Amino acid sequence: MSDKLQKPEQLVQIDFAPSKKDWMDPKVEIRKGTFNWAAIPKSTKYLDLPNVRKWQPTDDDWQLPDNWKEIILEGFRDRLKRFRSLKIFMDICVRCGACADKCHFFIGSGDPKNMPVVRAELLRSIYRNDFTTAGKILGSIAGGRKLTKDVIREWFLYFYQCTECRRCSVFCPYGIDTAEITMIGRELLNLLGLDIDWISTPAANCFRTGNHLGIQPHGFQDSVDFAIDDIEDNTGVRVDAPVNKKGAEILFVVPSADYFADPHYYGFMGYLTLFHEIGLDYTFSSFASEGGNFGLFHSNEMMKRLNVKIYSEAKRLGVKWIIGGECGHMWRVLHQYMDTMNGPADFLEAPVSPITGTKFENAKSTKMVHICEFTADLIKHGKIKLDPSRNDKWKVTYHDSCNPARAMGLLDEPRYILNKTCNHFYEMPENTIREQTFCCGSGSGIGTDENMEMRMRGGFPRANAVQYVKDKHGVNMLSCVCAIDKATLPPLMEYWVPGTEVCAVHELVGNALIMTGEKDRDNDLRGEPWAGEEDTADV
Amino acid sequence: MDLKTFLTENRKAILDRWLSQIVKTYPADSSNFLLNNTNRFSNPVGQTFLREIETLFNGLIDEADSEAIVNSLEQIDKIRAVQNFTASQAVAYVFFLKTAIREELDRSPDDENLTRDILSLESKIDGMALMAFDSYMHCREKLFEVRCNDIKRQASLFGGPNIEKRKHRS
Amino acid sequence: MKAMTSLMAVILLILLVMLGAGAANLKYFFGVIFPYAAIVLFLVGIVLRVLKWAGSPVPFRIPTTGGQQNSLPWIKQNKLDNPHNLIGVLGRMALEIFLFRSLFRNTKTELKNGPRLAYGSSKWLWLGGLAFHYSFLVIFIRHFKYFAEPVPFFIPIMQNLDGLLQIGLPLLYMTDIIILLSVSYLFFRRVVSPQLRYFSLAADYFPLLLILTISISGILMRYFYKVDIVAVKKLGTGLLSFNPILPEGIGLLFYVHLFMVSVLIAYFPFSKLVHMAGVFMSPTRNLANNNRMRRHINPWNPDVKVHTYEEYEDEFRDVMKDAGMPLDKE
Repeated sequence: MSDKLQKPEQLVQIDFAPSKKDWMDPKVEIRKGTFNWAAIPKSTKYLDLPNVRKWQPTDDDWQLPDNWKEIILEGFRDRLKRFRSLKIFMDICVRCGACADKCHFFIGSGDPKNMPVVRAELLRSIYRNDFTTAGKILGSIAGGRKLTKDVIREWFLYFYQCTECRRCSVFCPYGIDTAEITMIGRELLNLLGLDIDWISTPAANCFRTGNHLGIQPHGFQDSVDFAIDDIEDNTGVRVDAPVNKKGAEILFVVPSADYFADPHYYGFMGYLTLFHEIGLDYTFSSFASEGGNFGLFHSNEMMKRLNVKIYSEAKRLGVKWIIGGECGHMWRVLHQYMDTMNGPADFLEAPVSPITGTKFENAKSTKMVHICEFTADLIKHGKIKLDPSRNDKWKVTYHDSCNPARAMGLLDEPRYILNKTCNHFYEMPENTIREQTFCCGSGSGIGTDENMEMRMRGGFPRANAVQYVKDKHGVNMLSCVCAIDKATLPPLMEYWVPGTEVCAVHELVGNALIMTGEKDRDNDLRGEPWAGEEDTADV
Repeated sequence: MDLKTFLTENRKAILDRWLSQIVKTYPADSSNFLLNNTNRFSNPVGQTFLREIETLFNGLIDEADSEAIVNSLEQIDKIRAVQNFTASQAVAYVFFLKTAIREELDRSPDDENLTRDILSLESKIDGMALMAFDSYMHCREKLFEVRCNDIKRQASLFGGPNIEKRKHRS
Repeated sequence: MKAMTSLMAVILLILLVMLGAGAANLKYFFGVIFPYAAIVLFLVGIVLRVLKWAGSPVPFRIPTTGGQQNSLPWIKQNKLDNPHNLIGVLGRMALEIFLFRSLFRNTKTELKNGPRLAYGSSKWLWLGGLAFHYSFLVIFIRHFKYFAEPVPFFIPIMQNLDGLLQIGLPLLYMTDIIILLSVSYLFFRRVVSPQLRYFSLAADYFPLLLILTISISGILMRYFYKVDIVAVKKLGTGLLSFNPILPEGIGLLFYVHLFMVSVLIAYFPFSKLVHMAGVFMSPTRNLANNNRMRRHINPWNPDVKVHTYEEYEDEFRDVMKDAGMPLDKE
């Protein structure tokens, strides 16, 4: 809702058609509920970022450095030199429009600047104006735009209104990737000190304590201990979960929300029960206590700075290889960036499952295996006993998280696990899952409360598909393998599809797992009875 | 001819007019997407409007019960409550029905009966608009509730899950 | 309006050639010099463009994956949409280049409801795009007969296939019809759809209008105002053998055709038409998704300020000790 009340004469004429505007007009309304708060100086200072100051997007003056224009153009030139992707994507778009209606923000808002092609044109128009001959001569006829402060404001609004989900890229005949455009657009903005707090503060925390939440080592140890207690309450089995243990075979890295947030935590309990049951020799690291990497949403340099601890801790602890927990953007970094940025990991060994002997050929260089690959292999070899009926109160569907789906291709591993751990699994419609999956609407560091309206719009296509399977099959559980999803889908469901819970795939594994020496379990990992009592939804 | 017959006979034309007016509240550049994409998953906004205004229309000619009307209003308001609209802009779509019917009436020959009935029909639409206000407010409240819960969830990040249980134990 | 700007530009170009080759009788310029210049511009421009692209490294391997990855041996990989080796990548690129695979993805529709037109616009885009590109290619190749003597063997075969409908005399080529239809479709969808009109630039209408002019002038010459083919061939073979001669008796229409082709060729490397070369170099399509199998090297991998475990332990040693956690230094 807009802050300004309408004047009476505006109300008299009930014509609500918005005025027609050319996309080249950069003027934007910075409207409450649709943008993110600016970074606090404490965080940007800690990370040595430029132009540290107190400011907010609602300010009239954003206190840009005097030579802001030079900084942007120089930064742009530099990135054109460093990224072939950027150069190609600036040159070859034919504006065919195949991507136009693929963006969840466009679908949910009808705002034409949310069409991926236009989002890229915001950057491209400056490229044409300042870096191409045609643009220098013909200006706006060649699609060029002058770089003004309004353009910067527009960039800020729209590059933090893209979740870097890559759905549009799947449909582009040239593979133009808006995520890449947005990432570089954000890097440029950050050169001027236009950071948002939901990215910078977690990044600063992560730099210092190893995790986004700023949990200090003893806090981490506590969390693990609590999970061990909770598991014992639940199953009667006391599991072992070592932290910083040198000489373990495997380092296990999870997103920090897994051991601190709800419903991630039940998936965390699921990991621990599983590892205990198969007798895995593993360790956590209190420093590599975060696989997630908000640096990805900031700049490639920040991503590298935050990621380096994973290999260095693997080396320090002397493990052979690494398993990574359920997280979306974390896996984008681990799969597509880590080895390049902080490798080679020649001090590790190619991963081999100590339980099944399976060689994870696909991870032989990075030496890091996705927990779903690991678990699916265990189940396939019959190494664990599962009772899927324990999950009978859940009618489960699965949300493919953007990054594992479109930057990795992890599609059938979690589905295999789900099919073995629950009896009622239903897919959402074809054009909303797998590589065509709809984003939760809150990824890439914009999943905070102040832009809730924007998140609800962006998540509507996803919620709409959930509603469909809820109506058709009575689905009441939305499973996923992404920490951001687990944090942002619950509010999305609360607004659009009340009565739908969200869970980790490994929560269902933990529920179904029959443990040696377990007591007569009457509760699931959430501490709720297996079945019978329906409608736990509004708790 | 009585109004009900008129409405029933011209159902499709009126609904088309109504929908296209609602869609006009979005930037013209994206309106054809909302109208023409008939896949309910690729175009949930347009398809929800299409589906729900039919129920509302049926409500006017007594083919849908009040529960169905409330539900339909809520489906539409839920969407418009999180888009760039003021409260009045968000619920104005109900009044567009009046225009749609009038425009359709203008095209048919004058009929005394129709003009008389139209007044009571318009009151009915006004009533529906008031219901839409309620449902819009409900959605906005829900939105802020969701936001509050999200803040609580964020805050609990710093205390951890089952915080009560933890306090109890330590 | 941007479409208008482009239309004006094309009309100006037509006037230019009509005045130049017709009134001012600068036939040698329009028949020989400008075509040569255009080809030089094209070759130099494209090479420079590709070199410019190639000059920037690919720092990260970032394929967009369109299907199941290669992981465990018993999970069926989607080898074409998510390739993990060179063969797969070649397959993916071939599908992309010859069949417009990604555009084709749009075609799926199900669960239609409501009385409205079916969701098919994207399918039309795929079909229109494919029809346009292939008819353009066939017509392009067909034109070799004007440059080469003897005529390469495949051209008569191609012509026979193209004229399979056996309509009219001279035989109607299907590709002539297809290119007219598809280019008109590609143009009008931009004008009609508010969404496309919103982001279309003059640079989007211009090449379409240019190609439309070329096709229409070509069709006029073949079917209606017959051009002196022998003279045209003399010009063509002369140009190709760098021994240009300008035969008499070539009409103005031909000069319009040739000039617009030359403009298109010259315009090519400086416009979005470079997508023809760029599609081969797109890092989201031409790289294998074998990221965890083979390390990708970033030539400018930056040195960054990091936070080490030692610094971390120094800061938190006391609390770690209290919590009974192992330490590197006591």
